[in-house]
Amino acid sequence: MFNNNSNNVGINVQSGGAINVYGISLKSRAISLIGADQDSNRFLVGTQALKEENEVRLIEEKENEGIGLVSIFSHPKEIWSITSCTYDADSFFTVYNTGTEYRSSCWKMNHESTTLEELFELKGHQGMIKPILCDPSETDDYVISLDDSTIRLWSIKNNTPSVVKSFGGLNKLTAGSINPNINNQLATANDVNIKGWDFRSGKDHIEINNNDNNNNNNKKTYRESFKIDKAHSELIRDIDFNPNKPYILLSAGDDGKLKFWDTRYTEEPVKMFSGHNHWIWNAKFNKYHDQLVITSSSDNTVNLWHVYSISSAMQDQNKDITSNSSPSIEGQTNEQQQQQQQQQQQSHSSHSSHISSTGGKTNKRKEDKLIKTFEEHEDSVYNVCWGTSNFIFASLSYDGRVVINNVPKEYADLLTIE
Amino acid sequence: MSAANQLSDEKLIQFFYANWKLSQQDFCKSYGEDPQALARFLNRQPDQSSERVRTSLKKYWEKYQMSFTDHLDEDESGGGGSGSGSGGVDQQQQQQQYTAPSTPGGGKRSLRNLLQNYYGPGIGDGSDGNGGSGVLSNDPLDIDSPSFDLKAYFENTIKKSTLQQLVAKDNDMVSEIRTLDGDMKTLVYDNYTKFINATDIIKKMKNNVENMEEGMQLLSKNMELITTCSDKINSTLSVRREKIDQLSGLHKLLQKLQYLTALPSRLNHCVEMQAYSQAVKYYNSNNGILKQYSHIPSFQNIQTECDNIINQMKLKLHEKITNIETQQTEVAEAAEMLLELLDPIDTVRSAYLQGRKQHTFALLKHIEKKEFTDVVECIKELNKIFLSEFSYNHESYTSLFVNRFDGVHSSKKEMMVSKQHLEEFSKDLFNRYLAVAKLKLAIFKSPDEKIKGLEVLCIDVAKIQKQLADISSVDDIINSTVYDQIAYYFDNLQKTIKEHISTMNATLINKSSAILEGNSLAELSEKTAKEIVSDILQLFKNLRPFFLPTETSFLTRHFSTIFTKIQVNLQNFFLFLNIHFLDYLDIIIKTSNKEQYGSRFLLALASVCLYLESKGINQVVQSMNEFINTVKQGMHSSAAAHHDIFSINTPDLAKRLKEAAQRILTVYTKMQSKSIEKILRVGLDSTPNWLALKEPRDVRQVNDILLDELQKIGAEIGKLLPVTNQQLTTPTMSRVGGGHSRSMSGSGNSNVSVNNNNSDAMRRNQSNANLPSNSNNLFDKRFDIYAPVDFYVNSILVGIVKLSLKSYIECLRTKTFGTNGYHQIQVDLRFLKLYFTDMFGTQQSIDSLIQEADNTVADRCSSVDPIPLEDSIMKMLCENKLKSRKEEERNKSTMINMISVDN
Repeated sequence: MFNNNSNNVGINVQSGGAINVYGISLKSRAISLIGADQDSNRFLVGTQALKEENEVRLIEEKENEGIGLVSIFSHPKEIWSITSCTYDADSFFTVYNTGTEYRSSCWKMNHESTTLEELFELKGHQGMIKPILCDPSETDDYVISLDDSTIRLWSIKNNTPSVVKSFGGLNKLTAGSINPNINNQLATANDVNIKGWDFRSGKDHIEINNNDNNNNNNKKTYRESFKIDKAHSELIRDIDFNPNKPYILLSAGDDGKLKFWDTRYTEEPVKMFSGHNHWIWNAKFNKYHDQLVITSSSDNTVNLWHVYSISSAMQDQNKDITSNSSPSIEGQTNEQQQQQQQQQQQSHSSHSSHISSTGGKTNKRKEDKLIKTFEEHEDSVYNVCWGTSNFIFASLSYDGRVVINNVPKEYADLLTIE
Repeated sequence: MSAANQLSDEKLIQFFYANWKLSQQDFCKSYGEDPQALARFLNRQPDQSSERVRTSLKKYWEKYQMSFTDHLDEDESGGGGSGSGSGGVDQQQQQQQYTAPSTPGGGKRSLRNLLQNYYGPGIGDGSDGNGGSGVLSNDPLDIDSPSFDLKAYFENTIKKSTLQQLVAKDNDMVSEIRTLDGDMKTLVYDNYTKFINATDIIKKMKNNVENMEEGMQLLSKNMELITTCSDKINSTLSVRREKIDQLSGLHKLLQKLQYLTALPSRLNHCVEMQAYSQAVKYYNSNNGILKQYSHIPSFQNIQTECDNIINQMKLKLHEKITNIETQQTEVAEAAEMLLELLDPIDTVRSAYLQGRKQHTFALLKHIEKKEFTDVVECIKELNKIFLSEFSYNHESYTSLFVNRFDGVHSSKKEMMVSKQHLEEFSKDLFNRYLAVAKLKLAIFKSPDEKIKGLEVLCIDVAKIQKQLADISSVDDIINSTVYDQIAYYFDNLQKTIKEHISTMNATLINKSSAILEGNSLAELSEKTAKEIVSDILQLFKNLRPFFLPTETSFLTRHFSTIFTKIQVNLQNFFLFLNIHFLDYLDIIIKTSNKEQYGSRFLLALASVCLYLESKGINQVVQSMNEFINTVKQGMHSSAAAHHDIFSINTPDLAKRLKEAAQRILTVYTKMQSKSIEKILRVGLDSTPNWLALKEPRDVRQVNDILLDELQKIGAEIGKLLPVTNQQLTTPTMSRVGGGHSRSMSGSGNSNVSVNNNNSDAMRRNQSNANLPSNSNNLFDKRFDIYAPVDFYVNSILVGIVKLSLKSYIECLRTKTFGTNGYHQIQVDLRFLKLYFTDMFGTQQSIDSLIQEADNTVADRCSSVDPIPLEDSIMKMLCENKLKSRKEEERNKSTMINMISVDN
C-alpha cells in the first residue's frame, strides 16, 4: 500500500520497490532533518527506550530508492528530542532523560567508527528540556534552550558552552521558535499562552513594542515583543514562525487546533483550523512554500495544510503589509533587510511563474484548506519535519515508524518553479 | 292670289305667328282689335268676335303681301326682262308657297335674303351658316346664288322651257319681284323710324347735358369757397394746437412720474398689506421704464428703492416658501410671484421643494407621533393628510416649474431638470411616507390588521398613481411592503429564536448549579424548544392572511411573487435553523471566556435540537402544509401550476437536526473529557517523582475525584437524556464492527509495510506478531475513541472516558515510573476498570484502552522486567475501594433523598 502511495507521489517517480516507510523497533519521538546538508534528505531519529540501548539513526531518503539507513549511533539514555545543528551537518543536540533528570548535549557523529562524540553538555536545566533551538541563519553564534521555566541563551564558541543570558521565569514552558525574519526575536509557548522575546545581547537596541510591565526579570534588555494570552484553550505543544513572513506565527496544541497569528495584532488568530481528533504535538511551516504546513497528532495522523491567504505568495500578490516600515523593522540590520528582500524577490519570481504555469488552477492555489490527512501511522505521531527537497516530509510515530510522504502532486505542481 | 283669298283660319294664325314680331297687344293697337278676341282666335276658339279678328288678320296678310309685291316690282324694273322664265319660276313659286306659310324659319330666311340683297353679301352670312346657302352659292342657275349667271340662266330657261312655261315663269317672276319689292319697302320703313327715334333721343340728351353744366360750375365754385375757409381756420388755429399737444404730453409724463415716485410707497403699502401679487404687478410693469432711465439719478433712486422693497419682499416670499407653517396655496402663490420677479428658477424650485418637503415631513412626523388604536383609521388619516398634500404639491409644482416651459430648447432642458427634481422630491416623500406607514403597521402585530392597513394604503396610493407613474408603481410599494413584512417576520423569527437560546444560556449561567435541581434543566430546554416551535407556528399564522383571497383582493396578482419570496425565506430559515445551532459551536470555540457558554448550554442546546427533531418538526411541517394549502386555494390554479410547491420533508429536516444535535454532543463530550483529563493529569503531576514511591496501599484519591466528576456530568446529562438507550439494541456493536473492518485493512497496511530487506522492520513485525491482540486493540481504539456518541447518558460518558483515557496514556508516556509507581497506576487502572464495568457493563473499547495504559506504564517502568502487582492484592485493594465507594454513594443519595423529603 505504501509502495503504491509512493508511486502516486510526484517527485518520487519510482519504478517500484521504493520504500517510504522505515521501522525502528524501539519507541521513538525525536526526528530532525540535517538542514546543514543541503544536498540530501537526511534525517536523525533518536529512540526513546527506557530499558533497551538507545540509538540515533541516520537515515536518508533518496529518489527512486526510498528510505535507507546510513548508520546507527548508540546514544546513552532515551532521547526526548533531537536538533540537528544548522551550522554543521555532523553535529546535533539531543535532550535525553537519565531517569532522574533531563539533560542536553551536543554530539558529533564519527562516521568511521559510527560513534558519537559528546562535544559539550548544556548544563543547569530544571525539569524537562524542550528541543534545543539553533540559529536559523545557520551560524554557531548561539543556541537557545528552554526548560520548564527558563529560557537560556548559550554561546557555544569552541565547544565551551556558556549561558549568555537567562530569562523567562514562566510556568510550563512547552515550545519555542526563533524568528528567522526579525533579528533576535524568540517566541515561546507556556501552557496556553504565547510570548515574544528579544533575546538580544550586548548592544543597545531600540525596543520592540515596549512592554515593561510584563518584564518579569530585572534584565532590561530582554523584552517581550508581543504576547498572546490564552492563545489556545489547552496546552500549546508547538509554535513555529513563518520562515518568509516576519509576523506570522503558528501554534498548535492539546485542543487539536492549528492557529495562525499576526504578532502585531494578537487579539484574534488570523486563521484557525481544526482537523485533529487529539492533541497536536508538532506543527511546521515549509521553509520555501510557507503556505504548506504539516501537523502531527496523537490521533495517529499527519495533516498537510494549505494556508495561502497568509503566505508570502499571497503577500507578494498584494504587496502591502511588510513594505510599510513599521517600527519593529527599524531594529533590523541592513543585512537582514537585504536578506528579506532577497527572499521576497525569490518568492515573487516563483510566484509570477505560478501565474503563468497554473493559471487555470488559481482558485485551488488560493484556497485555505486541509490538503490531506496521512494515516500511515498506528501510534501517536510526536514529531514531523520537512525534508531538504521542497515537497517531502518525514513523520515519526511512537512505535518507531518513520514515514516519508510527499505533498500531493497536484499541489507540488502548483508550487513548482518551472 | 285666289289661294290667298281663300285663306283658312289656320293659315292666318300661322302667318301671324310667323310674321308678327311684336306682341299681340301691339297688333291689337295697330288694327283696333280686342286683344282678348285675338287671343281667343289664336287659341282656335272662334266666336262672334272672331270674324273681325279674321278680317284684321287678313288685312295684315294683304298688307304683308302688298309690301312684298312692291319690292318685286322695284326689283323687276331695275332688272329689266331678265327675270322672265317659265319652268324655274314655277318651281320657285311652288317652293315659296310651300315654305312661307308652313315654316316660320322659311319666312325668316327669305327675309334675310332680302336684307342680304339690300345690304350686299357678308351680312348675316356665317352667323346662320345653313346648308341651303352653301348649296346655292355654286349653282349659276340659281337666282339666289351670288354666282348667278344671268345669261346662262336665261339661255337655259329658253332652251328647256316651252312657251307656256316661259309665260308662267314670267308671271311668277313678276309676282316674286313684287313681293320682294314690298319686303324691301317694309325694311326701309322700319329702319327709318328707328333712326328717327334715335335722333330724337340724342336731341333730348343734348338739351339735358347743357343744363347740367351750369349746375356743375356752381358746385365747383362753392367748393372753392369752402376750401379757402377751412384753410383760413387751420392756419389761425395751428399755433395753439401745438401748444395744447405739448401740454397734454407734459401732463401725461407728469402723471407717469408721479406714479413712479409713488411706486416705492405703493409697493411698501402692498407689502404691508401682504398684497404681494399686486406689488409684483406694479413692479413688473414699471421696472422696464425705470431701467431705461436708470442713468438719471432720481430714477435710479426710485429703482433702488423699489428693488430693495422687492428684494425684501422676495426674502419674505422665500421665507414663506421655506416656512413649513405656510399653507400650500400660499406657497404656490409665493413661488409663482418669485418666478414672475425673475428670481432664478433653481433657487425658487429648491426652496419650494425644500419647504414642501419639510412641511410634509412635519405632517408625517405629527402622524408618526400620534397614537392610533385602529390601523385602518391610522392609515386613512395618514393617507388623507399625506396624499392630498402630495398631490397638491405635485400639481402646483407641475404648473409652476414644468408647464411654464414651452418648447424652446434651453427651457426644455430646464423642464427636464424640474421633472427630475420632482421625481427626487416625490421619491423622498414617498419613502418617508412608506417608512411612516411601515412604522405604523409594525405597531399592529396582528397580520389581519396589517393586511387591512395595507389594503387602505394600496387603494389610496393607486388613486394618485398617475403622478407617480415615472417614479415607482404601486406594485413596487405593495411588493416591497409585503416583502418587508415577510422578511420582517422571518428576521424576527430568527431573532426571537436567538433570543430564546441566549435567554436559555443566561438562565443557565444565573442559576449555575441550581439548575440541576429537580427537572428544571429539562424544563428549561423544553420550554426553549417549545417557544421556538410556537414561534415558527406563529410565522405561518402570520403569513396566512396574505393569501386569504377574500381579504386581500388587492394582493391577488402578486400572489405568485409573494409566494416565491416566502419560499425563498422558508428555505433560508430552515437552513438557518440547522446552521444556527451549529454556529454556537464556532462561537464557543472562539470565545475565550469559558463562562459565557458552559457545557450545560451545549447539553441544553442538543436537547433542544432533539426535541425539535422528535416533536417540533412534525408540528412545523403540519403547519407548513396547512399554509401551503391556503396558498394553493388563494392562488389561481393556473398560477399555482407555474409553481413547484417545494416540500421540505420531515425525515430530511429531522435528520439534519439530529446531526446538529450529534455534533453538539460530540463537542460536549470533548469539552467534558478535558475536565476529566485534567484530573488525571493533575493526579500524575502531583506526584513529583514516580520512581521513588511506596507500595500502593489503596487506590489514589484522584480516582474518586474523577468518578465524582464523571457522576456529576452523568447527572447533568441525565436531566435531559435517558441513562441507557433501550431501543437501540446494539449501538456499540455496529461501531465495533466498523472498527473491526477498519482494523482488517489496517493489518493489511502493516503487512505491506514489512520490509524484508530491513532487519528492524522484521524485528518490529515480529514483536507485533507476538502481540496480535495489542495490534487489534490499537485499531479498535483508533476508530473507536472518536466515534460519535449516542443520545443517552452512558454513551456520552463512555465517550468522555475513552477520550480521557487516551490522553491519560499520552501523559503516562511522558513519565518514568519505579516499580511501586507502576503498581500504583496498575491499581488505579484496575479500580477504574472495575468501576466502569459496573457502570456501563463491559465496554471493549474502555477495557482495551485501560489495557494499553497498563502496557504503557509497564513500558515506562524503569526496572528492566517489571513484575506486575500480584493479582490478589490488586483485586483486594480494588474491590475494597469499590465497596466503600459504593457505600459512600448510597449514603450520599439517601442523604439527598432525606434532604428532599425534609424539604
